[in-house]
Amino acid sequence: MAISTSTGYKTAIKADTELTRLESEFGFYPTGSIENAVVSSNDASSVSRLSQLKDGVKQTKKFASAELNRWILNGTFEFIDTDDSSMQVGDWSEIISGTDRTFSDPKPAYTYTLNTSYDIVGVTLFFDSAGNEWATNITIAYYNSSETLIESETFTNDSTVMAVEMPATGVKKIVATINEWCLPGRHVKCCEILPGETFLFTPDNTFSFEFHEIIQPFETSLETPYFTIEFDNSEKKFDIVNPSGLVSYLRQKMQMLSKIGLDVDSVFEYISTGNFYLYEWPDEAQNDTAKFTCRPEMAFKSSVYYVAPDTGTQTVATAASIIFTTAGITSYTVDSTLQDITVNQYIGENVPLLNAMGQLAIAAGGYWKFNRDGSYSLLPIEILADSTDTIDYDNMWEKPDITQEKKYTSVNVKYYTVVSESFNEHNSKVTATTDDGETASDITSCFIPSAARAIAIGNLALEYYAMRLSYSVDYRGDMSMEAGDVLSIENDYGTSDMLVLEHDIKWDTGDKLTASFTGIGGT
Amino acid sequence: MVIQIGDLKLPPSIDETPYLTNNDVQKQTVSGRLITKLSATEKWVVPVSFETDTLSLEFQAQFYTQCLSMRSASATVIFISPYDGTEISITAKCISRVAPTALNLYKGIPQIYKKIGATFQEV
Repeated sequence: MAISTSTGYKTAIKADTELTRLESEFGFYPTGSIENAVVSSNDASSVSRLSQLKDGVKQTKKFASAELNRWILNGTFEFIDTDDSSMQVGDWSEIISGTDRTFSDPKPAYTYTLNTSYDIVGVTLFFDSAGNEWATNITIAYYNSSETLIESETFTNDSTVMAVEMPATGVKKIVATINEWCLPGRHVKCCEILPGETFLFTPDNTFSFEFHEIIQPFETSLETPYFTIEFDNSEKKFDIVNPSGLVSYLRQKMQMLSKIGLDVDSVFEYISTGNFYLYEWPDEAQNDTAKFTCRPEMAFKSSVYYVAPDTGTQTVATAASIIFTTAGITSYTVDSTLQDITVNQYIGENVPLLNAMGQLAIAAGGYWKFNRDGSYSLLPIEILADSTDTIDYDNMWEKPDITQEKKYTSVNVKYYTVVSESFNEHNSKVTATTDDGETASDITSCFIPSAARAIAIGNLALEYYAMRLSYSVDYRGDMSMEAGDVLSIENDYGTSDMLVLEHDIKWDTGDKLTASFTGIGGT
Repeated sequence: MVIQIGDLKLPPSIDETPYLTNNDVQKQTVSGRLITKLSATEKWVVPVSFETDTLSLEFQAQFYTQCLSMRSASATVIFISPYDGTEISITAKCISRVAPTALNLYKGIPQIYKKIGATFQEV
């Protein structure tokens, strides 16, 4: 609940002047290409850790060595600990560069073998940024699955990160040969190789960013959170009619990490606004701006179905594990209070996973929270727990829009008994002590196995529907608040608590950060 | 002084100085408190303005065509920095145009404008 921050952050986000910065990192490399690749070198030294060249860590420490003029005794250098396998070292070549900075034959070369052929936009090499060393001349060669050379080109470079744009289709093997180093008498030091490029979106090239997160108690058709980033495309890289453009290399599920930072005492404190995957991209010609929309992994599973192991009952924890194992997702949690609740195994044929998640949450009396790190949590519905933060008039653009919804005092919860892969549907009407309101629409979840469970869900739903005040709050924006939080909202008579159902954060170059909540509360 | 906008070379413009800004945006909250939002990076804003007594109609048309194209597509703007006198080249878009005021109001003859201008902002 509510992302934890430093105390300085909470002061700065409510200060009169605020400076925010958006940063998004788009991994423009084919999905699955890194996990299954094998990296080798023709010249690795005994300290090399070649597997670290594809582990995603793009920086090492400043290591001491006996190279010419490298080790300065100023206390900033460390030794490579050969016993500590977790130490990030990357690769150090055996050979050292000559006095003219070039390498003699055979030159150090990395071979990045992919598990299958991919369409790639280029190669990115991360050299020794801590020691400020890099390759100045490098030859990149692509081979296809029959080991035939597709393309070979030599590039010059003047920084510790070398991104080579060299689009090609059907690449199975990449060979990067280091011809020249930036200094004489040095080993090649490389800490990461990517079969693609990393695109960095910053305020310099981004026009707007919109983030939307939502929780949906008692709903079976779940919406996934998303963010949309609109960026400068004046170079026409993402113009679909540009024959040398990169749109044809975009694939769903390429990863994008986004975060918004706030200046806290001259240091930016970043909070994630989604570790999601590319879902939609430009489909129009000749635009000066392009838009990427990203969603969490579950959004890509619309044609993956929940398959029941049997027709008996199971716990919520087991049902969740079936859903996430089917989806191939490992990072999820089920709240300990919900884990042991008994639910049906069989919920029908061809039920998409997202729908199964929704039904499971109803049967468990909980809701799914799609976390910003890409994980999923099934949490219990708590009727207005203690508020975690306050939004007062000092931080709202307009007074909150509060409306009173209908009064519901009865609800029909359907439950299902399963007889050899067919259902018997039962109704279980739950009514409040004073039944002076309307009947809410039916609550349906094929996971609910018994009348007792249906009554428990019905009572919880009536408590939930008793929160009849619907809030809409436009405020300054705070990345640390989330859907599912309970917030204290100022009104003309004091404050009232609201359960956040939706949270929209918008960042743009004109208006900077602004945000809005929709939620429910009160009676 | 602004030297060039896209492919169009400019004669000296009048009384308008390019400046760096971090796009301060001020907005008022419900309680009346002023919140200032700053951009992380400073950007150039380049205003251009001409009295057109000496400018040909053809140039005026070219200028506005250039502005129009730079509403959507960014182009290079070259000018002399008022801070240190160096020549600076930026990629910018046209963010606003001065509505041209016609000097002659008779119909049927070519229009001559009294003042034309536009503002460009670095992207």
